Formats: sequence, C-alpha cells, structure tokens
Amino acid sequence: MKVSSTIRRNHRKVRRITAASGVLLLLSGSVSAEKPDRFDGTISSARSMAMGGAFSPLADDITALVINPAGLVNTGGVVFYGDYLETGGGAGPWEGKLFGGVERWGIVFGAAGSRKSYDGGTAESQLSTGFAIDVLSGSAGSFISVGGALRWGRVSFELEEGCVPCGVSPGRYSYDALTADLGMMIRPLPFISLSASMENISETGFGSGDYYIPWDRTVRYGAAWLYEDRFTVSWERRHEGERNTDHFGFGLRTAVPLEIMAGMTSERVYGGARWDGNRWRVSAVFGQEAEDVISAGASVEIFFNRPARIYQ
Amino acid sequence: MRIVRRGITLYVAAFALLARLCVPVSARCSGLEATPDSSVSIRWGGVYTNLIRLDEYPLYFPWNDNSRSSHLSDRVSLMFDVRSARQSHFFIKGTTGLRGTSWHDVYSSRFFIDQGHISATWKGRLTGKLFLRERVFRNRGRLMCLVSNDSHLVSRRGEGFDVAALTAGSVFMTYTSAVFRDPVEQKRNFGLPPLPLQGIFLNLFEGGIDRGSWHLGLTLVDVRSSWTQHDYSALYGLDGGFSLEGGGVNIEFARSAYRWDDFEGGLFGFDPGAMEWGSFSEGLPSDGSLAAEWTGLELNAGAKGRFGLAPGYRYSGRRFKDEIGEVSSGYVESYAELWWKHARLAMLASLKAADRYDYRTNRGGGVLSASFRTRLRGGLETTAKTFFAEGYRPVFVISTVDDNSLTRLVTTARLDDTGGESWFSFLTEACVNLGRRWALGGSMYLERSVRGFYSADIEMRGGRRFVFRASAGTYVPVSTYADLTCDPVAQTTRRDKSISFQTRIWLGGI
Repeated sequence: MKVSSTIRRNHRKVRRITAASGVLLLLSGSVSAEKPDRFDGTISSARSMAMGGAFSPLADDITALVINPAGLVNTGGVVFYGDYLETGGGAGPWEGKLFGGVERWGIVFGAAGSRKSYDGGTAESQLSTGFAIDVLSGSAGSFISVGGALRWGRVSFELEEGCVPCGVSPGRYSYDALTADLGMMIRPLPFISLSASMENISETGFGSGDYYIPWDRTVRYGAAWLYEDRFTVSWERRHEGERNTDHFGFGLRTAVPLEIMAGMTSERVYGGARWDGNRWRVSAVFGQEAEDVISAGASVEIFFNRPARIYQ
Repeated sequence: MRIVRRGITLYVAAFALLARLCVPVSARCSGLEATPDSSVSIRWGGVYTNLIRLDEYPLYFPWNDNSRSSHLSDRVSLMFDVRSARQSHFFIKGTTGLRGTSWHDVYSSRFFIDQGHISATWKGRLTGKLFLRERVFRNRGRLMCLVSNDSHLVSRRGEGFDVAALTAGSVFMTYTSAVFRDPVEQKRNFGLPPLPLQGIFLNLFEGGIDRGSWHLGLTLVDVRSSWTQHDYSALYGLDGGFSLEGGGVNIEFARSAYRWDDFEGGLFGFDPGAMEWGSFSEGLPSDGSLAAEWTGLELNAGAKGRFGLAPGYRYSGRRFKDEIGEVSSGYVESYAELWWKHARLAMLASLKAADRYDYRTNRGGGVLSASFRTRLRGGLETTAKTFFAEGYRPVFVISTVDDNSLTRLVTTARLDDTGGESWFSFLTEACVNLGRRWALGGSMYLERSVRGFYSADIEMRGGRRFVFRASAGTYVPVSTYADLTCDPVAQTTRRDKSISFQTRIWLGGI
C-alpha cells in the first residue's frame, strides 16, 4: 500500500507531540498512574475492577457495553448507572461514567459517557452506544447473545512549553478515536459462561482528518462458572498488541444481598463489595494500579421494571 | 555437663500407675465378652499422611528438578487407647519417621513413640498421670499465664508425671514434674527417655481453694537445665478473687528471678513509699508482675440494651523473667472497656481506653480503640475496629465473616494511616462446598498497597476416612487474618510460592 507524503508528515507530527507530552508528563512527576500516550479505549467499571478485570464472561451489568456488548442481555427494563473512580487518594487521575440502558423489541440498547482526567489538563472522554440481542435462548437459562458498540473518544492535553526540536508549539491539542466493538456470550448451561469480544480502535489523529492509524485491536475471551447463584469464578485473557494478560476474579454472595468480590492480575489484587437491593445496587471497590498506588471508587445503579432473569 | 538423675523417679511412678491400670482391666476384659455393656473401652486408630510439596525455584517451578525445592514426606501414626469406667486411661501413639528429608538424622529411627500417657483417678479426687512427649500445662482461666508450652524454655513437649488432688472444702493441689529434652534426642531410642535424663527440668506446684464466691491460689515453679548454667528460673505467684456487684474481681501477683534466693524485699517486694497517684507501678518490684481486672459489671437498661464496664490493670517489671510463661516483661497498662449490647439485635459496640508504657522501648501513651460488631440476616458477621495509639498513626479495620453450609467467606480490609499515602490491606478467603465430597477454596491478599498474594486449594473427602488436598499459591494464609484484625502494627507476610498435594487416611475408631 502506498502512503502519501502528507500522511507520513502528519504521522510523524503526532508522534512528536505524543512523545513531547509524555516527556513533560514524566517530568511533572505528580501522576501515579500512567497517562495515555494515545487513546486508551479500555474502560474499567466498578465491578470489572473488583473482579480483577475478569468481567467479559460475566458482563452482568450495563457496563458490559464497553467491555463485552453481548452482556447487555443480562440487563433489562430500564437501568441507569454511575460510578466514580479515583487513584492514589486523589493524587492520580479520576474518572466518572454514566450509563443508561433500555430494552425494546427484545433488543437491549445502551449508551454511555465517560471522562478520565489526569493532572496537567490531560483528559480522555468517550461516548458509547451499543446493543445486544439473544440469538438463541433455552428454557433453563442457557443462551447465545451477540452485541455491538460504537465508541467515540477524544484525548485532549495541554503542552505548556512545547518542544522546539520537535517543532511543536505550546497550546492545547486533542485527537479523536473511534472504536467498533463486537462481543459474543455463550451460556451452554446456566452455570457456564463463555465469552469473546473485540475492541477495534481507529485513531483519527491530531489536527487534520486525513491522518489515521490502522485499526488496533484488543481481544478478550474468557470463561466463568456461576455456582448456585452464590459463587462466581471468572477468568479472562486479554490480548493487546503483543501482550497477553490473564485476569482472575471471584465473587461470593452472602445471605444478605451483599456480594464480596476479589480479583487478581499480574499478582495485583483487586476487590470490593456490592449491595444488591431490588431497585438499586451500590458498590465500593478498589484496585492496585501499581506498587503503592491504589484506585478506589463507588458506583450506583438504579433499575426500573427490572426483569427476574438478571443474573446477580 | 550437669546430669540430673531423676529418671528413676519417673519409672517408679510409671510402674505404679501401670499396676493400677492393668490389673482391673485384665479382670474386666474377661467380662467384656460376657456383657455387652463393658466398663472398659478399647480403641485404636491410625493416620497415614502423605505430602508432596514443590517450592519455587527459578526456571523449574513448578516441576523442580532440584531436590532442595521439592519435598516428599509420608508417615503413619498408630494410636491405642484404653479407658476404664474408673477413669483409668492409657493412650499411646507411635509414628514412623518422615521419608525423603535428608537434612537431619532425627528420623533414622523408623518408628518411635510420639506421644503417650497413662493416668488413673481415685474416687474422683486424686489423679495421677505419667506422660511422654505431651503438653500438659493448665491455665485455670487466670489473667496471667505464668507457665506455658508457648514459652521460651518449656516450649517443647515434655515427659514426666503429674499429680492432682481435690480435697474437701474445694482445696486443690497439683504437682507436675517434667523434663523437656531436645526433640532430636527424644525421637531416638524408640522415643523412650534414656537414662540419665538431660534437658530442662521443671517443677510446678499449684494449690489453692476455690469456693463459689471467692478463691485463693498459689503457684511455685522452678526450671533448671542440665545443658547450661544460664537456663534457670524460679517463680512464685499468688492469685485471688471475689464476687462484687454481680461480677468478679481477680487479682494476680507473681515474681520471677534466676534463683529462689534472688528474691528481695519480702514476699511482695512492694515499696509503699514510692506508690503515688498516677505512678502506682513505681512501688512494685521490678521482678514482679501484677494483673487485676473487674469483670461482669453490667447494667441492664431494658429496651436501651445492656451496658458493661471492665476496668483492669497490668504490670510487668523490667526484670521479670518471661521465659516460662506468656507474660512479657517491662510494661505497664491500665485500661477500661465500656461496652453496649442492643436489647434485641445481635449488635455490640465497645470502647476501650488504655494508658500504656513499654520499659523496653521507653515508649508509651494513650491508646483508644473502638469496635462495633453485628450479625445480620443469614449469619453475616461484620466487625469494624479502629485503633488510635499515641505515637502511632490511626488504623481502621473492617471485617466480615459469612459462614453457612454452602460457603464460607472471610473478608478484611485495613487502612493504616502512615501520615502520607495510607497503606491499604485487603484479605479475602472463600471456601465453597461442591456437593458432599469436594470443596474449593482460595484467598487473595493485598499487603500494604504494595504486594499481592494468592492461594487456591481443592479438597476431596472420600467418606470419613480419606482426604485429598491440593493447594498452590504465593503465601500460606494461616495467621494473616489475626495479624490484620488484632495487631495495631501491620505485619509483613513471607513470600512462599509453592504447590502441594496432601493425602490423609484414617483407620480405626480414634
């Protein structure tokens, strides 16, 4: 494929900006979690964080929209969700998300907006919309569902000093990204859940719209075991670029509607608790982002016409 | 080397007790066949244990080919137990050595007596016991544990005899004589003690009177060693208590020194002139310890619940020898705990205030701890605790325990305020019964926001006599829960990455 010289120039410019911003961010030294040097499509919901990221085969709340859209079928009626996560006791980035979902004509639709803000004015915003549908459903709780989602994201950042060798002047910059996500969930038995999902990211890049980076892909697949509606074990493998990570999580429901969750990936521990009322759910979660850096957050879900089929 | 020749005493006592036990048993054994309601019960049992463990070793884990990183051990224990209606009791346990451990020649004997005792009771008032490799000490629910198997000098299992008498008027007297030998030495020679005996010799006398409303007691202990001139200790203790306002007041006093003639200042060694308000401990002997507590002081406020107060005092002098009991030396503490219990719900709140001083570190100050405990529907227990100690940063702990026939879940979160960024620790342990035979368990532990650990295990029970357990993980979560919930200072966990397989088979009826 022949790439035009304009595209190459734009490509180099974006690289210079991102490299310069990365250097400045490192020099600032006040951020505990990594800032994105490009669009980071990964979103961690409260439950996903508490399960150590092993959420794709469960995907049992509205945040499935941005992790495995096929899991939207586990919601129903009308649902609203909001969460807030903070890193390093406020010293690191924070993020907030709002989700909404509704079921019509046997299809579950979802929409979401989120913003993750770092020190120094860097921010990543996303708008998402998607759907899921049961393509096959058994009488005892088994089903096969598929789903899809589109997400638009924008990373904006401030360059206070610019980079003379790079030819980048100070100012505020941003670039956009688009993701197209696909997901599938299979429950051959009510207590076994298998999943596969893909997140395809295309960045439109800085400035002109004619620059693009070829689609980048994150693939998730995993399995979960749901025992007696009380105990959940979940595993997910995430393939990003040339990197594979395994995520493990479990959740256990007590007699009162309290679920304790814990997870691990790369020997980092995550956990949390979720109280499940009839019309609402609240969670408090934490995750180990790095050594000596803890993220913590909380979420609230509100249901209207919540169907009985919802698992957990 | 000093050699103490008192083994003959042990053997004479052994023959006397054997004679007491064996004669009536053999007579009744003949009657055992004739009458089904025999007054003698004879039981035996055995346990086979097999353990394969693979420890972390670079490059090869989990299938190490380095002998130091993999361990295979198996052993068989056989037990024999005879009990008569007149409360004579004989128990013996023999064990094979471990195979595959080449680090020591302790197991060169393939079979040794691992534990045993023979005891007899006369008219329910006089009991004699001869024991081999057992832990025998009593505590009688006292505030201070003056002699303990969890101490430095007498931590091992000992051999000796024990006599206890309860006379009319609730007067009791006990005497224990034991020798604590080197464990390697103990397992040689078929597990029997060779003569002359060598080791740490203990003499313990306890006596007193225990009535319903009051009690008095006396403890006399001395410890001598045939190995070294330094392991000497002598201790005497006095304890008493009486009922007061529906509760009970207990006061215990003890002194400890190297030898009996080292005690100075009379029986108590008090210096009343130095005792002033706020510095009471200045008048107490530096080789003494004192504990006092008033418990059971309660107020029933009807619908408002019940309130209680438990004040207490602890003192242990700098020169108090803490080698044979569980009393640490060199601290003073006065405290009061106020608690409230809900009238109907399972809900308990308590507030404990203490003033402590540690002579060893020369640090002290006030400590305030509050806790709240409740049990919710379905048995979910939640406990929240906070510690505020002068000189230390605050600690907050919340813990939940959910235990039912299907699952068991223990979760603890702890926040240590370090002044800068706080330490956050999180432990969750879960176990799920998968039917009647299988159980799946696991745990995850985040230590001080930095290090993560995990463990997982699966257990299979084949009836009542067979258990197979496979486990893997990066640590062994035995005492982690207690460290997190009870210790004001966060502890460090040792990394212990391993895979192990364990099998146990029970035989017989014990």
